[in-house]
Amino acid sequence: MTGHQVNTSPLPSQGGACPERVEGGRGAGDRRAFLAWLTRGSLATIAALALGQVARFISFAPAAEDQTAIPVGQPEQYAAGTLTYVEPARAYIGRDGAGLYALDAVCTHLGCLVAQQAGGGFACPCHGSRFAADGQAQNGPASQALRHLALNLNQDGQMVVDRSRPVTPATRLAEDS
Amino acid sequence: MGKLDRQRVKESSLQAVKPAKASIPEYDSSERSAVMVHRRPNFFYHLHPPTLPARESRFGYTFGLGGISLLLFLALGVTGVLEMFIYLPTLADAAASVRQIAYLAPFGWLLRNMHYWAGQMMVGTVILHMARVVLSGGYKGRRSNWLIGMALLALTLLLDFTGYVLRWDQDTAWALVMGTNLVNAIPGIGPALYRLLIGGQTVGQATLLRFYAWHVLGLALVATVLIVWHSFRVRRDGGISHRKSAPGPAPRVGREQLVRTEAIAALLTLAALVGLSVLVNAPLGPAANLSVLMTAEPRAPWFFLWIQELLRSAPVFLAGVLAPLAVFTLLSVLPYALDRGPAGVGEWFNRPGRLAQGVFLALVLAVIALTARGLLR
Repeated sequence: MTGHQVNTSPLPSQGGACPERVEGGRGAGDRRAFLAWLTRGSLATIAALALGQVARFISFAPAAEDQTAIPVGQPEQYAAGTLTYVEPARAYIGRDGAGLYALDAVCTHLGCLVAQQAGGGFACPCHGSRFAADGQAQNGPASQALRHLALNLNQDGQMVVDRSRPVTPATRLAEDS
Repeated sequence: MGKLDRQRVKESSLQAVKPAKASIPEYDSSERSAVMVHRRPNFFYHLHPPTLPARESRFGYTFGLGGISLLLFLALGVTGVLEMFIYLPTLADAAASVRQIAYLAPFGWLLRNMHYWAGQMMVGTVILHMARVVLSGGYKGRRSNWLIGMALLALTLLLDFTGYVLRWDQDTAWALVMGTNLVNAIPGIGPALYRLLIGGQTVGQATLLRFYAWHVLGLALVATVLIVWHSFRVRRDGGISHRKSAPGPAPRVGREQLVRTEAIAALLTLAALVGLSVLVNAPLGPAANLSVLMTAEPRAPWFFLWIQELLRSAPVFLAGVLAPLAVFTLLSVLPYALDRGPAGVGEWFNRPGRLAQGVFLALVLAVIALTARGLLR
């Protein structure tokens, strides 16, 4: 096994950099470099444009459900001093001395639904935030108050909640009857 | 090979030391391998170099954690594709189709349980794999592969989370709401990124479909490419990381020995997976309805419980985005910032890497403590 010889015949001489092998005379190397640059530039431009369109494509969202007029029943359904959770609106409908109001049940911390507590006020089951009966943040990680949502009467005398429009806590439904 | 070299090889093989450059028939020591080496090596042999460092090829050095993770990933692919034949990623049908898999389709329960448990086990094995690499200095001299590994850790967690959501019961849907709201808390780009993630203003049909697409193809494809690259880099970097301090040629073993160990590890892993899947069902709660008030506290998947614990006491952006990013970044830069030198490669708790090992163990302990607190709640 002494003749363990590997064929290591040297590669034919490469002759160094590109332009020396060019036979087209002066400027051929420049032209080649320019064309290479042009090719890479075109490919990069096409890729960037395509990526931009991909971003547009995945940003497309189909029309969502209408959140501006969620029916929650007649005003008479809600007696004075009550607070009722209404599922489709994901909000509490309450009536106090001043009138009817809608309080968003979505916790301002990370979006869980807050639950009524025995002693009044709300608690979030996810991270333990506490809110007062008027929605003010009292305790826990949430720092913002629960939103009060616009409550309106539609043409049929039915109440509708507009989840897209927060209102001040003092706002009450204008009942003229 | 010269005469002197050859003599040295002969001497060393007397002490059962395998020379690195010996041709294949020289190192077979049993009749069994003598039969094997004259066959054309099959695919599984071909994945390995002809000989490997003996010490580092032992199961007791790697615990086969990388290979076991790969096997679990393949099992997830097979069971996942079969689940796709029944699963429907729509708000109306998702929960019902999961029940069809779990209760009606023949052996669907086993398939779903195996997919679930393989996912859980894989989170464990990749984290243990990472721990082995840090504590035995495996990343020394091959830091780029450490970064690929970190990307694979992130992908494993994201794949688990996106899969968790597809179950579409109360727990997982609320975990989705909370998880995506974390993105919303990023200053500046948060809201735009949130809309991109959930496909609209609120969590709904588009969200479920997007998570489905990410889970079954988007993330899985990237993970497949990175796994191939990760394994290729091991070969390219000179095989399994091994000790270099010992003088003279290190003992080596033939690859058929490693393949045999790997086959045993694979069979035991599959047995554990099937056994667990037969004994313990994957959780399945009532179908998700994000308008119904919650009766119990929704829990993050166990590997994100530590983040949920942090969220109880710290601002959302800090606890839910910056803290996980900081942990991830710190782990990524371990071989770049704290354990740069090549000394100590392949040695458990090697001295030059003590600082990096300490930081790693401190991070792991903190995460385990927070997870335990979340579990005990």
